[in-house]
Amino acid sequence: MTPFILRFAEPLAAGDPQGSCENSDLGQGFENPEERTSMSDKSTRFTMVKAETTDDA
Amino acid sequence: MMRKAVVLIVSTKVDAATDDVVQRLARQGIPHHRLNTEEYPFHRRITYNPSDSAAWLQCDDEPLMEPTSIWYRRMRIPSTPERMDEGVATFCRNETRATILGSIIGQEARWMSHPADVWAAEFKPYQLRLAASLGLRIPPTVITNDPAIIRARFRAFGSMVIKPTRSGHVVKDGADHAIYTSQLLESHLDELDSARWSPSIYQALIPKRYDVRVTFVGERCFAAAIDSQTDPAARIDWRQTDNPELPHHPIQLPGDLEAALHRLMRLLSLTFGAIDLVLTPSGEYVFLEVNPSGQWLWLDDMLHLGITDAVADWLTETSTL
Repeated sequence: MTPFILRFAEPLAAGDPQGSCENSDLGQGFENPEERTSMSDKSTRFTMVKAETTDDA
Repeated sequence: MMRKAVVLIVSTKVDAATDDVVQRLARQGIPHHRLNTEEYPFHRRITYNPSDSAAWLQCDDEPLMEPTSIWYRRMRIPSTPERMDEGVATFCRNETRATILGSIIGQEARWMSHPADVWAAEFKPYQLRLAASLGLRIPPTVITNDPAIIRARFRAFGSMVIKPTRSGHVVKDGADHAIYTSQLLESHLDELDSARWSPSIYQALIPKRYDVRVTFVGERCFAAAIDSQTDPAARIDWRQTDNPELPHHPIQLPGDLEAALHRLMRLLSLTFGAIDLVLTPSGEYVFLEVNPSGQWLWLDDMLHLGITDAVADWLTETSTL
């Protein structure tokens, strides 16, 4: 009972910025967002394009 | 009298674009509040006072100033707390979404962009119809869950791709998955009966000289070519490659195309949008989709387009209030 389109679904690597944020390794515990640096490397910033939907509801 | 800028950002802890804009605002001394939506309701408290504009919204014990601009960037949900029933958690999350959105949607502010407009604009079938009505070329398209129609179009289109109508994300077998635009091959046709479980977008595969990403910030337009055909993993959907060195270069769009895209943004009431186009080998631009909350940081990294600065500038503008 899996729709055809999901045969093309690909697992996101750990830390890819999609889905429930609390399941991600990124963005944990930054009380002061101005000090965040965890996503500053270019590779991560490029893979952010995998997460472009506004609302995951 | 012109008001001093106050910015409210509705986002998530996991968004580097938000990080960069917040850093710009902090450096400029612009009062701002970042509301990370996944923190509510299980980790933080939120209070809305509908009849008290001075203390309209409070996050934990922090009262928020009324914003001059609201950046509706992301709405993300928290995971279910231990020992909480899943159905109960869903109820709590839905009530929280209603509280956050219900609190902000009536605010008189500059919006990037209003949630109602973002909600409508994220329906790709709607985007395609509007784009075609403006004279933009779109790929031959059918959106259906009818296997017979898909088979017939597969023959008619010659080459075909499939993509979701709205969400490129699915939790499958307990794990997060991305759904990229993918090419249908003859060998897939035997599996098409399962297409009836979910409609999808089926389009003719458009031959590419390169992909184009156009980012609109207010009236400003930033266009970049993505040389996707040099990387086998990026040929159908450039997001599929993990190669951060995929070649890009800035481009100038033809004036009539840029004007049509501006009209599309206005029709969708979007003040931000990341538009995907294809430039064909014969020099024709084809519209694929618009992402109302799309990413851009890698474009600034590679091409120094200044999109982050443009977003921060737009959010701090108060002259039109």
